[in-house]
Amino acid sequence: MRSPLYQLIQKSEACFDFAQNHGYDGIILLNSITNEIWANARLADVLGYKEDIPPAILNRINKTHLEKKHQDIDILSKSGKSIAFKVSTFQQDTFQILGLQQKTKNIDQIDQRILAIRSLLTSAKLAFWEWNIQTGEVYLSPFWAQELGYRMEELQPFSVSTWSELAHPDDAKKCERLLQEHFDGHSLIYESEARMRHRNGRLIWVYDQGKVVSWKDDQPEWMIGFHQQISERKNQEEVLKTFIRQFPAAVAMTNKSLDILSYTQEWLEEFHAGQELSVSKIAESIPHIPAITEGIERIINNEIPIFEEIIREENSFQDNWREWKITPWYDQQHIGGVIIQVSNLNKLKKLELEKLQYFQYMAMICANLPVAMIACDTRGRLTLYNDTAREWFHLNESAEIGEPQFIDHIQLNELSGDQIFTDHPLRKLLRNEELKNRQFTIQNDQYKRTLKADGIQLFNELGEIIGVAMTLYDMSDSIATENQLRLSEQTFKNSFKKAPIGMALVDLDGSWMRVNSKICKILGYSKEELLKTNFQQITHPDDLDSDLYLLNEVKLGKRKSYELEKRYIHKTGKIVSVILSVSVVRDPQKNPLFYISQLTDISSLKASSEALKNVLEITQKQNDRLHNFAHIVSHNLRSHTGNISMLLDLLLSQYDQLRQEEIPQMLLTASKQLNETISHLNEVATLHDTNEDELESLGLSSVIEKELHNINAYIKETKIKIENKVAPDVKVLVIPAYLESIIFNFVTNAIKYRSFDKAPKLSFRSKYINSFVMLEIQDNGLGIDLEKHGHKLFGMYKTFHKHKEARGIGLFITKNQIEAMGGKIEVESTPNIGTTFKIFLKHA
Amino acid sequence: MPKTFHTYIIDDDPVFIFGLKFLLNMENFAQQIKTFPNGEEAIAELQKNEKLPEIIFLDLNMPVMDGWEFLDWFVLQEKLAPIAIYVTSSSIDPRDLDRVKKYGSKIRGYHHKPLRKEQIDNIRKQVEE
Repeated sequence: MRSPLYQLIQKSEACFDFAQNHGYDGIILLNSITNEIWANARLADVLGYKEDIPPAILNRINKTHLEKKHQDIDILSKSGKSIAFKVSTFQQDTFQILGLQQKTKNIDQIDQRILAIRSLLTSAKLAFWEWNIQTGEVYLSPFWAQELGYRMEELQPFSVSTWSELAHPDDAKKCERLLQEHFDGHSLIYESEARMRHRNGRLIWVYDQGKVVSWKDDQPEWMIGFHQQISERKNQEEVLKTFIRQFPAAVAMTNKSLDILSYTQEWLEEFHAGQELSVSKIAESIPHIPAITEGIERIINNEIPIFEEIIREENSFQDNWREWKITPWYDQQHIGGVIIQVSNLNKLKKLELEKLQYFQYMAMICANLPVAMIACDTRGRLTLYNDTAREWFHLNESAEIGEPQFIDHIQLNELSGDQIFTDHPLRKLLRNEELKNRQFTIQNDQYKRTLKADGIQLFNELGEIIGVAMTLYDMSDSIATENQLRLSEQTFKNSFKKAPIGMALVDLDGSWMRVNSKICKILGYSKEELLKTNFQQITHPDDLDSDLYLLNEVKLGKRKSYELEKRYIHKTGKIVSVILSVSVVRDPQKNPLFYISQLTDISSLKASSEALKNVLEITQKQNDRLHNFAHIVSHNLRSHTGNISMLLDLLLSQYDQLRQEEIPQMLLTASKQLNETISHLNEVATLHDTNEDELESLGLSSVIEKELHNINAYIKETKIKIENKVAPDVKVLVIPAYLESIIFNFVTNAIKYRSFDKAPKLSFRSKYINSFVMLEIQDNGLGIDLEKHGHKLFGMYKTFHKHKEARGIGLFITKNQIEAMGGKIEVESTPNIGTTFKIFLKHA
Repeated sequence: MPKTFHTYIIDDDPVFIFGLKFLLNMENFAQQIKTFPNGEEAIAELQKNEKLPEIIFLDLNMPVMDGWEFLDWFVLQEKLAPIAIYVTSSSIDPRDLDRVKKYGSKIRGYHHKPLRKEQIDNIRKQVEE
């Protein structure tokens, strides 16, 4: 059925105006006689229907409710939501025309609203223009063209030059200057009077007025204004009043005396409960708010260009939130009065407070999650994100602060590393593509993260998409763990197979679960044979208990692992010695799963250590025997030789004449030499390595003095000059008898081997070297040819002098005594110059 | 007429005892000489509470009870304190000498075997003082 609207509009201009002004969200047409009902496509669109609105929905609109001039109705949208409309009615013939305006608007409808206002302004016959200074986009209303005698189509396409080509060049320059002043903020409103060429060729004066209404990047963006022939200016106020009346907001207009000139229906509803205006002064129309009164006054006095504030009026039962916007209007160049626009923010404020609380709550939860959350609106501008997202993508402190940020701020890479642009998950979401469980990476100087992304679309209460949101979950850690696990498994497998030691996984009951080839080799079984047995069966019976005991301790968690030297029975029956290490693998609940056993075959090691042990034992026994031998020689033999020499003495004292006989003489000499030899043997036999605690701390100097004193007579007789330059406080760790013997030996040696060509000298000096005291004993005696004799200097029974007293035992004993006390001896000697011995003794 | 001493010889070596006795007699050192093959028999005699010796020549290495054990017992006997003990040993191990020194003044001297006439004369001088 064809809508009769078109015919009605054609018939009546008033009907057309009504449809234009009141029906921008839809028009319903009602035949009051037939009760037939029609709706236009716009309404269907607003309600979300792609086709016609189902008759059932339309029929619910009860005409009896529509008799009042202004009325609200709710109509069910396709998504099931109730949408509230403000209805204006118009009667034409038998038709009632309902103009519908949606009551609640949202941001996304701003464009529609601009269109609506544009059509409103057009219908007000204003010659207005819109100019996007940044893009050069220009819209000129039909009446703008009409003022200059053109039809709109004749001037299209619109651009800045549409105006500049028609303007007088002189005036165009002036206008540009005025525009710049306005852009720079020097003028509140751009105003100019310029000559323009009318279509009929004449120049007419045109008054132009405009204002920048939006800014972008600190630069003016949109500018809106209107122009008119100055001759017609008087009409302007009327036009403005009409405009105000029809403005879809609570607006009132006053003159300078603050008498109300015009107001909108909304104004009445806001301040007069929808009743007719019964007062004439603005102050009587609005609540008493000093700030507003003052604001109006200051605007009238041209002190401020605009008053804009959100004010809360405290009320006994409900606070009123209103946004006040007061601007002057101009009559010629002078302020003609004010225009007051009021927006009731109560609902918004309440919602805002609720939302704010909810938001804060959510923000608190989101802030510390290691999950980045990002939301953007349909234009791709980021509207919300949490701290994690901010940190990962280096975003502003918050979405509301600073430069607007867009999708491209969220730089994501594919797993391959390629950066994502057009396929950005947020863009895909906006294109209604699904985002679920996708992986991306982000990379910066410090780290690379692998992220899992999920997204949703955000809708308003009308079911319209207003943006999208995405969560990014950092998987890096879990991926790293997974990789590590995989790696360690691989490593284990490899090491298990190729291990040079026997490895096995052993079940809790002792049966072999997995064995490597080395363990098979150690035990002599094939893999298959081994897997049929358990370790108990092939363990040496004597070693089983200790193994089972330790295994149980590991199982109970009393120890982490154990190591045990044990024996297995090889398949051939021989015994295999191994070192066994066992640890346990547990599940996350700490229950033991199986054991890991490592076997190192030590049979050959064992055999060689046995052999070594035998050698050691033999050596020990031989050494002991040697000791015994030395003891027997030095002690037992000595008592016999002692007896022999005693008996010889007694014999000779009894039979004095025997002394002259040769044989008793030789016997005496032999006995004496035997005694001496045994005495030396004894000294050698009693040498032994000493422990630290057997050593005593002695003053080196005093020991020297004591020994010198003991052989004082000998020293005097030989006239050797002896100097003891050892400081009295030098202390050494020694066995006293050894040190005495050593000093004695060196003094007597120096005397024995003194040079007869010069006065004999001997000196003692000492010096600290590391943990030793070095005793330097220097003589000027015969010296020793070290090149010839050095290697046997400290050997037993070596003599280097054809000297009657040389016995060749002293240095041997001395060296051994020094070494027994943990020291050492060095020698420097030059024949006929002298000898220097350096004796290193531990210092106390 | 020089003083002669009541003397004990504690030693397991009959040759040494023979020689020492011969020497002592030759030097007219002893009034009476008693010999014991080990410490135990000497102690048994000393405990008889008969006439105590004035001098004891004590060997160190002996079977049954050696000279060390005898010394350990001897130093605890207050009434034996006047007896002069001379250790006679064939040991020239310096550690034995150190050990003997630990008994202090209760041991009058340490002589390596064999003893000679000069040593006997020295002992006589010491004891007479």
